[in-house]
Amino acid sequence: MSEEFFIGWQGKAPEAMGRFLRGKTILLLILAALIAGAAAIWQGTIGKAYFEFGKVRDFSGILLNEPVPMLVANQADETSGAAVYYLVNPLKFGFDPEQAEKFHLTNVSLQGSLLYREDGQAMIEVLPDSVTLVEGTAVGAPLGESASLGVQTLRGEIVDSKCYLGLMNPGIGKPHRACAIRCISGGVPPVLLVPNNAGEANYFILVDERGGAVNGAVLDYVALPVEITGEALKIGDRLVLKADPSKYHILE
Amino acid sequence: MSVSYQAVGWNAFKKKYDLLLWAGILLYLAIFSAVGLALNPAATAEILLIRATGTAAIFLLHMILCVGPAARLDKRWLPVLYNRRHMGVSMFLLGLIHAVIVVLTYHAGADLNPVLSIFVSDAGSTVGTFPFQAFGFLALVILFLMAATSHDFWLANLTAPVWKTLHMLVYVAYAFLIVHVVFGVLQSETHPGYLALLVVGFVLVTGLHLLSGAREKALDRGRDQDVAEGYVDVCHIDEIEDNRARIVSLSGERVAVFKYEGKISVVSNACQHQNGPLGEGKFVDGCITCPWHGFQYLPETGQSPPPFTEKIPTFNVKLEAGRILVDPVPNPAGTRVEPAVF
Ligand code: FES
Repeated sequence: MSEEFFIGWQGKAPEAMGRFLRGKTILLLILAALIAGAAAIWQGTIGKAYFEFGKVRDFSGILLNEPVPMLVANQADETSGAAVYYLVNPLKFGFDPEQAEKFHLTNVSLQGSLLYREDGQAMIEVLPDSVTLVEGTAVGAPLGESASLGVQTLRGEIVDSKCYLGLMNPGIGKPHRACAIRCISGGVPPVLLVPNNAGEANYFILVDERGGAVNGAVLDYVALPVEITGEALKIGDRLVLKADPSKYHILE
Repeated sequence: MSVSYQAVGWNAFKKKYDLLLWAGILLYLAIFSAVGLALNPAATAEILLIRATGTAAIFLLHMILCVGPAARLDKRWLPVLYNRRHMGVSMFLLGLIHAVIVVLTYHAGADLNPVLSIFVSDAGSTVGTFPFQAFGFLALVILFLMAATSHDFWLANLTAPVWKTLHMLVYVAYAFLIVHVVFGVLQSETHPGYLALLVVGFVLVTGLHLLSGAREKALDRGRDQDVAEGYVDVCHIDEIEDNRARIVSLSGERVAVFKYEGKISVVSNACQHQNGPLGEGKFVDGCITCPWHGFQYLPETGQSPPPFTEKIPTFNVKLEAGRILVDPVPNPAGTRVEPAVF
């Protein structure tokens, strides 16, 4: 007996061939399911960060332009537990510098969507033109006292604070690098993440030696292992690193 | 082409094939997303989709690359090979979804044209700055060209050799995608399982190709006769099954020696459609029938039965005491040759 022969335009494969293929199809489906499960389980970079996409809330407090645009709220919100928020604009853009200057150290109310991580860091994506002046005067140092931690050499990864706090998840690493570059180029504050002993990361807000924004100058260093030497400051519970970006060092 | 060819054939087998293919793809995407979300409640839909479609496309690409040599080693895989283009088009679609979400998520809404951003953001030569996205983009362009020209219309219009070359680019796409994955997501997601799967896949693809290649080489060596003068003794008629062929190599070119209805005819082994091995086909309904997609040729003339017009070269053949002697010089495609009768 000659072996079976299948012709593509015939509607059906011969019997024994059909049996062989049924078996193999089932095996392949099981393999696909196993690989899908394993590939999903092996993911290790998705953090505990959240973006309340589409949910707009009211916030009020003192707006600051330094070290980066922030809001020191009158009270902490219940979701994030945070009372200090970085401010940014929608999409891949930082908070409008003119507005930041105009409202610096004033009492404001604004609307926006919350981004936060479980480590207590939070941010507001401000609804454009929603910032309004509120009666009352601001105190001198809303963030708290500023103290120098001296010159430090720190190793870590520069991320864009918006994606890291939940716009993207993961908002770090190589696959996200292009996005981080665009965000920082668009004005989102760059932050140096320095792993700490608690298995988390300390956030160092990056500014130049005079406290100015460094966004345009750090793009080549984003999402790479870097070493930065500069003066570290502690302002309230925020950490700031003052360094000349041209002296950043890539560790690759 | 074939006697019973249906112009746009969506027969029961094709339907079942596509049904299973997409059931498998959806199963993969569903499991990846569900498991990913269960373990990472903070994961966002777009990242899960980027990763699910990306990994699914890579998995499917391995199947596409393996089924060719698998079918050469074990003919029972042939029905999967037939319609391989459906796998290819599906894989392209997965890659396209992956790319579109990537562009919308990572590149759009910024201070630069999103497509430009793919190329300028990673443009260095270190591991951390290597332009992995550009490689993904180029692979997608290749897959697009292949998917867009996968229909037989293009095969006919581009001519078989051009089409075949174009579709050999799948290996370039495969190489690009390995670069895309290794210099991309694997720089961040560092579980060794991912790399292990890639290596296993690579070993499987190259192993199957080498194995099927070695087998065909052995066949060529075993049969390649000295073609000094005139006819070459290829084998005895009893060595060929009825309605089947034996593939022999004459002056480096493979020919199919068919035995049917008490006759022997010899034609080129390469099908006009996609170079399918006619010698692995069968004599059906009075025609040599290609095992890949069922194109048919009359054994005496090497011509497809009217109204089809495909033609393959024929070879002069004679019998001496039951031994089949073939003239290694091919006749122009479609030339009528009297079969040797026994
Ligand atoms: S029918 Fe497609 S290669 Fe022969």
